[in-house]
Amino acid sequence: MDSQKEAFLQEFNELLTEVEEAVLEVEETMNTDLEHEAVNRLFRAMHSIKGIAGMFGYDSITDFTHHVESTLDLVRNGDLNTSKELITLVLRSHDILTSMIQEPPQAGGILPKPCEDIVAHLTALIGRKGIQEIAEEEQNEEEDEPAKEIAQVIYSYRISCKPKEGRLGESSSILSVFQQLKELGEASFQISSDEIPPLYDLDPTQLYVAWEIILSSEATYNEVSDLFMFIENDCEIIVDCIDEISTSEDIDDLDNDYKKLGEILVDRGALSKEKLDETLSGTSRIGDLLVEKKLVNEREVEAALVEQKQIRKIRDTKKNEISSATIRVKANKLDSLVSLVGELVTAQARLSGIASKRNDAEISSIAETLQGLVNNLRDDTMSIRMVPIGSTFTVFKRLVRDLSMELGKDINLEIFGEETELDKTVIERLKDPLVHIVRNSIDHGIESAEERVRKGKRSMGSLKITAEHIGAFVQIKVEDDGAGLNLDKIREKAIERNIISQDAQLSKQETCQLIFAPGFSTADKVTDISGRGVGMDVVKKNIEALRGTITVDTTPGEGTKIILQLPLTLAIIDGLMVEIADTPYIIPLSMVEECMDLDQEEIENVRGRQIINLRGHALPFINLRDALALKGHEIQQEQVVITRFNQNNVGLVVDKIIGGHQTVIKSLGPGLKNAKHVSGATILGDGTVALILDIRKLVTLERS
Amino acid sequence: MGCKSMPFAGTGTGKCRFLSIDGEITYPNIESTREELIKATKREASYIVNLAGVSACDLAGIQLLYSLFIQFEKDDRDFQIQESSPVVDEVLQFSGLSFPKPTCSISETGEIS
Repeated sequence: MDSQKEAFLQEFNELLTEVEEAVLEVEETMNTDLEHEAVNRLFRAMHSIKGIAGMFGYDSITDFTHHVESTLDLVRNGDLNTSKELITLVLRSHDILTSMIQEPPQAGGILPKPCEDIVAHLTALIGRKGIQEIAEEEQNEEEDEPAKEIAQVIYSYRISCKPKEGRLGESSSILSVFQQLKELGEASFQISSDEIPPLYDLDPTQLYVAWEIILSSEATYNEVSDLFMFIENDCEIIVDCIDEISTSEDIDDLDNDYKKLGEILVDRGALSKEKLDETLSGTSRIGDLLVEKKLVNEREVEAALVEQKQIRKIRDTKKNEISSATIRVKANKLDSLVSLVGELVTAQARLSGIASKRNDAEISSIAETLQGLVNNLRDDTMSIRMVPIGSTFTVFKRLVRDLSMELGKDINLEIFGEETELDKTVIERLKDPLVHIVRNSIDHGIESAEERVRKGKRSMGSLKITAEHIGAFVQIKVEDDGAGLNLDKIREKAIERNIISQDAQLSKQETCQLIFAPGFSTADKVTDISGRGVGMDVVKKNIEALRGTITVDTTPGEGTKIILQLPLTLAIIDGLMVEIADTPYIIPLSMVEECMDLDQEEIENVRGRQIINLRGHALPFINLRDALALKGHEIQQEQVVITRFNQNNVGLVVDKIIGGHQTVIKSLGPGLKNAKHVSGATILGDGTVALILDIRKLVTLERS
Repeated sequence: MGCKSMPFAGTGTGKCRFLSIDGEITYPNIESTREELIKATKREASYIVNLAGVSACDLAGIQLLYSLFIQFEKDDRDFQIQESSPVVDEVLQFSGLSFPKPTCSISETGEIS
């Protein structure tokens, strides 16, 4: 695929996401003050889709979006009300566009059948006006209307303000309007004062001046025109949009300079095209020539120069902003950068090791400086990969809406923490598991409206998705106020499927975790949405593959909370290096609470299990030498790393705590694929390999 | 509003006068202000204008002052603005108008150059 096509598809898909978000926002804000802005946002996104599809030969998409856009324009202008039906039609249009873009470009003319259906529905919805008629009107308006309300656009207006019959009654209002104009953007005022007579001839009650203003602003044509509402009886006002620059505009387009002086004068009506052409055949500066030939006066030239200067300035500024604000980089380049930073971290660790061994102050100083720089580089590189999780959450708005309608349930979705950032890869791999969790909540968790009312609950169910940073993790909670898990039924099914034995003693938490067993389902009926027992085990596997955890908390009758805890990044972590039987290991620092020397006298035996008496609290512990079946000489003074796991502390007994270590995570080779206690490996400064301990697996295995 | 014209207390040619304008120059009193200005500037002389005492000014006022300077230009009378006023400057800024450039420089001794 050529790079232009790739960029087009990327932009198209971004616009589709924007359409989906906007249409859901319209639904959320329906009949509120915010609705209009949401409709505008939707209109603009649809308008942009139409524009870029046309540029790449997708004529059928252009034709189809034009119909949708025309309908939205009616809504925007207050000629058509928003409705659930309209929202559904626009969402269906979004889905159709999503599939249309997968196909090769098609010439316009005949719309595909699904598009025709949508257009027919839209036409029926509009009723009093045929959609084609509206589309044509729209087309004409676009040709006539100088200023279109398109997002993120800097418009430049030429405003002419001339008092009618010299009336000076509301002079203060004029100045007040000018003040407001200046607040809208960059304004240059050209006043025509040639008509002011000398004092003896002056009628001071008359106004002899007229203004021409060049305004560059994001304000729309209507917003600018509205400012003159209160002086339009006293003044003749003409507002012309003379230039517009879109923030999405290609920088190359901005390289086309603004009009030349002669063109501006022709545009303003100060000079005819013929006279201009005639004068251009000379060699002097055009302004001087025109004045010299008395074709225009100096003031007119000056006004045109002001216009040219201001718009060139705005264009240059915008060009710089666009070129410097953001830059698209291919994800694989970022991956490569992260990998290189990883190598750098390893090399730096090696240098630090050598510096430390040689006891050379100069090398140590360089190593220390380098370490600081590498740390900053690592943090900056990792931050580039961090993206807000909000984009993933958008999917749920649509999902909840569609499933609610399908199942006849009324569900209110609340989303918190959309701005929470996570590594791009984590977000990509998180989407499917989250979709599955949400579908389960809606299908099995939240009851029908009738059942809820019967139980004394609000008829509308609630689904809350929250994301927040907790230490080096991001926690995502999916919470519903449905029926909660039926723990007895879960146990019954688990016994039936031989997942647990008849006499197994399980805590509430352990019973809840059974829903993640392969093939487990308590659903009485299998639906298209969920209940086949395929999914929650895959969800768990996917989350664990991201080095995350998943837990369930439920209160029968009140609801269920599913909590995902995910690492911020998968590439480089801060680790704690420890030594066991002369072998280095890494423990993720984010899990470490504290470290201490192991006092043998503090070890107690409680119900057959050894615990450490930690300041009066029982601390279960694992001796890693035993757990990893390592040999080697015994250590007199062992140490304990206290880790936090699932809201519980667990001590890990090691020979020696070496210290903090920036850990570049390398995946394990096929030989260690099934290693139970480790999640990866890292290369140390001296070239040796240290395994990264998977504390979660280690603790789970030891408990079992 | 008030305006006062008096001989310039310098040692110049005697043709230079000092014009002080103060108070409100706004639409409601614009006609009377014009009359006063005509009276105050009827002598054939060059003028040093001081606007520091202007307490209110609107578009009508600024147009009037502008026309005064145009009158000076028309009559070939030199003028110089000795001091402006914040309210006058503000209206000039918002209206986009600027006064005609002074046609002369008047020294402390009243010498016109």
